[in-house]
Amino acid sequence: MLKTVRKDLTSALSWKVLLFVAALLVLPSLYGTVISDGYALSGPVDFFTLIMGGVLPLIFPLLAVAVYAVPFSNQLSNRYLVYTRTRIDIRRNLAAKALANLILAFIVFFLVAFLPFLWAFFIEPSLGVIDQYRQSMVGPDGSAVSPSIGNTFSQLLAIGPWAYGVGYSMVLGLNGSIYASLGFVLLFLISNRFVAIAIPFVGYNIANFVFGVLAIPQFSPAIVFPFNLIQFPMWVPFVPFTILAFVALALAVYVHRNTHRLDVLL
Amino acid sequence: MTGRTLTSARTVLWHAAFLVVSVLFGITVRQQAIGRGQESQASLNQWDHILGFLLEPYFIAYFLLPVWLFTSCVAIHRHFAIPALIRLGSYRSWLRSSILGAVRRLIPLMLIWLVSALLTSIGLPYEWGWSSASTTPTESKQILDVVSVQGLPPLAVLAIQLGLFTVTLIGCHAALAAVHLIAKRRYVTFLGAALVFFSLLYSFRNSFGFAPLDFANFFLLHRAFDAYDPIALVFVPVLVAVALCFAAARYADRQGDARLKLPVRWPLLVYLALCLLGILYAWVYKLQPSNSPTDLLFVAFYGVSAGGYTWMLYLFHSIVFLGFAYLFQLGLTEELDARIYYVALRRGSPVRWLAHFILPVAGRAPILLASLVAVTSVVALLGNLTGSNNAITEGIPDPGWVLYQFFVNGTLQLLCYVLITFIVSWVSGRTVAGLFALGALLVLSLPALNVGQLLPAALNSMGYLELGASELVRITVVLSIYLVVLTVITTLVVGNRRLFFNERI
Repeated sequence: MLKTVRKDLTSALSWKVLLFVAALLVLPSLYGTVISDGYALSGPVDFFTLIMGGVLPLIFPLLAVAVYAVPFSNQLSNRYLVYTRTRIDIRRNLAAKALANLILAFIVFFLVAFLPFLWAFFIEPSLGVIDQYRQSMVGPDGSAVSPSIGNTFSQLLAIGPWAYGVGYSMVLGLNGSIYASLGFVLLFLISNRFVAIAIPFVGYNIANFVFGVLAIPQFSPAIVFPFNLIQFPMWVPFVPFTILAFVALALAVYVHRNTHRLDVLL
Repeated sequence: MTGRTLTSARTVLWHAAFLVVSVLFGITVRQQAIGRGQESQASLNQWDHILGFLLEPYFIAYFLLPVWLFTSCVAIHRHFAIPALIRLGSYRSWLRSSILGAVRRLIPLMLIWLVSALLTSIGLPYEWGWSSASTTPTESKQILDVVSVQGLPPLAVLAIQLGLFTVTLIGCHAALAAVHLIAKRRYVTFLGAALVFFSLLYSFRNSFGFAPLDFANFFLLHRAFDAYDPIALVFVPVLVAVALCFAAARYADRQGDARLKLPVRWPLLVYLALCLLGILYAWVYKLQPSNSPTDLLFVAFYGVSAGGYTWMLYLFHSIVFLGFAYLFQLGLTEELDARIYYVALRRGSPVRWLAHFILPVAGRAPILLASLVAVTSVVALLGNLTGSNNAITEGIPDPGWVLYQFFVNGTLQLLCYVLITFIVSWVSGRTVAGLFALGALLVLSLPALNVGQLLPAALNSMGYLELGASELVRITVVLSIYLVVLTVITTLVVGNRRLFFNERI
């Protein structure tokens, strides 16, 4: 099984995907650094927020499915997967691919947060690319405040910068793998591949809007990028995550139990 | 004896029984009228009896209506047969023919009712005007007291009552037929009939505050006079109900032949609901009563400005405008993945196919914008946003520019979105690529990336109004140039045989 997963992972990393992932890892930090001149940043935490809060929150699920689910969908369109049924048990094959998808998305999105973290907290300060930070973050009354009250995840800063960096990267990685899995599983349930790939992205934006209208933005899926919201308890971001994980798991179980009856695989 | 003769014999018997019951009931009504006349010591004429009979609630509620509802249900069930459906071709024509059948059934019944009223009025003095008994106000408000003071001659009241009653019964029949069309179960139709019957019974005794739901208004003219002024308005809810029945039949027609189509309807419904939600959001959270309807339009479609963006307003803007492109993509996916070869063959050439496919979408863009303006105005009116000080739009040139930005740049922007997603989908050979084009547009709309407003992304944002009128015209020029270029590219790409969709994978 693990061998199959490893094979799937290596075959998934085509040069197109590698280019895409490289862009995904580098561009946010690069862009954040370029525009940082126009912002009064109070420190690495603020700089990290600037990098992560720009473009990613808008298209996060689309990027998540682009890593593995979209290239994989071609195997469905050319009936490649159907023809492998004579060589390998289809359920085993699908499980390996689902796992490869999950792992790849987790690693990619872990790095999407972790590399900017390294850049903002360690590399950039030693290079001194950004001219100077303001001494401290100021609250509404003008007094200095600790950076750990900035957003929900910055509570981890109380433990230390590494806890923040690794913790937030883990959260982003997990969320990325959930969206990737949703897109992957939906490919088997919805015969129209465009719709299957679109659902995580479209649903994510619609849910963000609806939760915003209901005045509970902390429970919207975009809470994984909580930079423009006030601080919430640490369990709050895990509410939408748990729901999504449950949905993805339920769909995966459904696909597993009905593998032999799915139209897409006939 | 043939079946037709048998049926007609049965009908004659049925009508004769109806006549007997009507006449018997007419006699009791006449005796009551005479009794009332003697009580008030005023003279009667034939109208007291005829109108009293035609407006008799008990006769209508316990005899006429149940008979009508029952026969309607039976007729609908019999008529809803495969041969009739095949002959008629569509549910809509079935509904039409069912209603015509109902009219044919109703005319004899109404005539019998009228004739029995006339028959039982024999012996009372004949006059053209109202009798003194009917115009004398009584303590217990009688039926004739209400209808005689409306300034209408008795003959007109008779005509209106008969007309109203006929239209209502036809409406009941149409509603039952529509229910049968959708449910296709006999017991559901009978349940519907029972519901109509019991709501009417309830409504006779207790009138609702909301006139269109008060059933008795549509059966009894004296109730209608109380609820509707002018009286002609009473016909409106009934006619609307009949129109809704036809809409239901149309829906059933669509349902019947739409199995091969993509479920475009659900996304569309969600899309429209989100549009409404966003407008309500702008109204509830952002505006005061002193704001004008233009302010609501401005805030709801604020989108991005040159300085930055607000998360929620930008999300709503993207949902409306990129959502339109997404719905287009849904239709395009179905067309390209399922049947491009067939439709391109049918149209003769891919370019001709393109014209047939894109032009209706292009036509829908202004329709969408006009509907959004209409909904915004309705929400503004309902929300009492009737101020005229344009508090929010103060910094901008003129409220007229709000409409300019919304309609002119909005239409151009929508068309650009549609063409961009089309070109990306077509050239890449995969419609999924169009989705990534939408994602790219979503990102490129951000003011930090769309520097100088040179990219065709969210340029129709109301936020750009703050830049002044000349900037809006510049945006129009930019969008027009993009539109021309995109149109040329689309035509070239579709016309090029080597770039034909799906040929390269």
